[in-house]
Amino acid sequence: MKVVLLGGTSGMGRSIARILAERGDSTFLLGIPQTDLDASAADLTARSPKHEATGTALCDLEKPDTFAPALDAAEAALGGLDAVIVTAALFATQDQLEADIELTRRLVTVNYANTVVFCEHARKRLLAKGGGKLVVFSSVAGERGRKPVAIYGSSKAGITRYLEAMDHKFHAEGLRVLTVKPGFVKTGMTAGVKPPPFAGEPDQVAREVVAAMDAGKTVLYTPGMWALVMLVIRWLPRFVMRKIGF
Amino acid sequence: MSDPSPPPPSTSATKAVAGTSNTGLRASAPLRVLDGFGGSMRAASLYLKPRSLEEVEAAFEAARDDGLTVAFRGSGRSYGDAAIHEGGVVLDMTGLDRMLSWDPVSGIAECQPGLTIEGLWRRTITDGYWPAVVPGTMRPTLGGCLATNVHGKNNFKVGPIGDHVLDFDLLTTQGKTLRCSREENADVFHAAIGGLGLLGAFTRIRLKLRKVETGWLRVKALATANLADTFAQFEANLGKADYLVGWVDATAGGRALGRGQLHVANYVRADEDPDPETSFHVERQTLPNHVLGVPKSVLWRFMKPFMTNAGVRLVNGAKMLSSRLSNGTTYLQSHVAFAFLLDYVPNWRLAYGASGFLQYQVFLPKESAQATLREILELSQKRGMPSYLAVLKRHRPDAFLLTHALDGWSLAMDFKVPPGRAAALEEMTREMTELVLAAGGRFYFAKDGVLRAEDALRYLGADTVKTFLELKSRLDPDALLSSNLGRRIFATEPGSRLLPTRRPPSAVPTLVSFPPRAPAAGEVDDATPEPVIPAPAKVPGEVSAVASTLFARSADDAAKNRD
Repeated sequence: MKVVLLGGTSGMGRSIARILAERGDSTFLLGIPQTDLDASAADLTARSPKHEATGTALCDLEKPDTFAPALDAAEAALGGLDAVIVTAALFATQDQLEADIELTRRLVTVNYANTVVFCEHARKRLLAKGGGKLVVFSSVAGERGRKPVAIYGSSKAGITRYLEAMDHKFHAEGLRVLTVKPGFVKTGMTAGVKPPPFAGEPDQVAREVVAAMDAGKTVLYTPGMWALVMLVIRWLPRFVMRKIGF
Repeated sequence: MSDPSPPPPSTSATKAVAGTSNTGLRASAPLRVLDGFGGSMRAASLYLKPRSLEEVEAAFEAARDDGLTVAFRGSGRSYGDAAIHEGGVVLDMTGLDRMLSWDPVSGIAECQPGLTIEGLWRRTITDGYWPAVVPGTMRPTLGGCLATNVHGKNNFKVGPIGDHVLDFDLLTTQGKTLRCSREENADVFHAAIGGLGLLGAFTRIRLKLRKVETGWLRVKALATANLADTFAQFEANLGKADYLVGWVDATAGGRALGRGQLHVANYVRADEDPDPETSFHVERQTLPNHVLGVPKSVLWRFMKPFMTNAGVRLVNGAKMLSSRLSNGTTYLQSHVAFAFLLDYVPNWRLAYGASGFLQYQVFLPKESAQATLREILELSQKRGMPSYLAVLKRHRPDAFLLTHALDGWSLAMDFKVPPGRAAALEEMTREMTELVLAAGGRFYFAKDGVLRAEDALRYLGADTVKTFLELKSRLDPDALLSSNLGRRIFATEPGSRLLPTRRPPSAVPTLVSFPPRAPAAGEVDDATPEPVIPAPAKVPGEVSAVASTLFARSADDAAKNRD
């Protein structure tokens, strides 16, 4: 399989890229900065059974004009495109966002508007080849308007709806969209935040994501327990949501 | 690609936007209570997890600006205080876990420091290579293995891990990167390996692995009747073994004192391989999922009730019986199953209960080892605090500055910290330390929590300590790098520059103590394998004024951010 990863240099993206490289898939990394891309590309090359070189291109989710050239470079280097995986996003706590409106603007722009723009570029390229897989990380934070993730969650709610619509619209043409909704996962993104019960490890989440992608699933809650947690949260009445801190 | 200027670090799309208000580490870095693997030593520190070398350098700068010192932490597998740092900054290096190159022809791997032994062997075994030296667990990072210069069950034959390192890059706190090998910066090479992370950060490690013909070892188990027999059988097998390790029943007294079981292991040759097709498959290198029918993830809970003197005596008695019945039997074992005994039972350290345990390893010259070990075992029994796990190994000297190795033997002992009687255990180990020092023995900092600066000075020698500290003041002139262990071992050396000058002298711990464990800590640990105790009732030490305000902030954050 020929796979492009945006955000494959760290956290869950790094774990997914390793699983793919170790089983012999061709990988191409998009992200920033170049030093990180180079180190991760070396890592994937060393892990690939046939030492297949991994290419890289700078692609910054804050700069939409980098998207098309980066995807072109990836497609050219791989000689095709079977899957695009997006794990990159911004995260900030609700306190940080409320204290800094500019940060709020950046976060919702990156997590919603720019991610949609990137996915549109990717979708067109996949469909031009008769279809393929689009795997994008949303979050359980987008399932319900919740106090601790009010703004971050809204950006993820937007991307969840977009991905759902892409699946409805283009499934018949061969596009397979997987919306990944991780619960709490212990990565650099959440370093320093106390892990709640059912916190996941990046490697475990990555294995589930790859399995779901291979199986052609549309939605993945990971770790699985979060599907149950969110089922309950989705049905809580408003007066309860106003009272609780979750 | 078309991006002309590299974006500033804070705009990285994959990163958390932390510390945007830019008020320094004290405000932006979360405070965490981290412990040593023994669970008996812990400290509150500001926690950072850099994901790139640039972030490591930035952390040095930020710490310097804030008047804080810095310690490194890998997987947190050092038993004592090597990777904890009260009131300072702890850099968790596990995010730098990439393999930079792997050459299956020469068997040379180049890695970042956060790659674990597990990450290494999983890649290399498929090409028929096994790390030349591994500790008893596969979880440690290579950076941590180098900083403590770990040894394995083959130390007598192949030396410590440092003997298999070709070269490394060391990032100093001055922002310089030194290429170190036996030829280039040889003094730094021999001091930073085993240098406890006090000289700089390993950023790139190149090491040579061992070519193995198969994925198997042939293991022979031998029962021994007493200490003299243990030594005699060990010595008799030394010449023909690739690995050799002894388990000693430290609860047995009288004529059975020092009885136990030896495991002699040899690499299996290609023509003896029962299943050459799959010999190097990763799936062959597994640990059992069940032990005696109990799933391994909950096994420690079954062990817990037996972690008393009587319980261990019972278990050891049963083990001796089975070892006598199976005396002399040989069997095949995968490299993983033989090497990583400590990984059979995840979270086994929790079986020791809330006050944890002290790991203490003594190294003794071959001439007097048996006599001194006899005294040590007798002493522990007389005090009613026998070691619940005691492991005997054979060693050879090496060229590293702060080395623990010598031409002789070592006994690694796990002592349960008796609740409320930590001082008695400390007192006993002090007597043992005296016996070891008098015999010309040495110690191992990754398995220590009780040595004092004067003890270390006695066995290392004033010249060695001086050389190390001179090197330190050259590479780290403003003493940015520190740790609880660093302060404990070097603090009282006259003229020491390790002592962080920014720290009030009253805050320097002179003797180790076992701070009481927070009431809920054990429960939290059960749920998360990370050695992190997130919510202590009280932050110990003089930093508490600063720390408690920090802690309040971070606990508040934690409560709010669950996604």
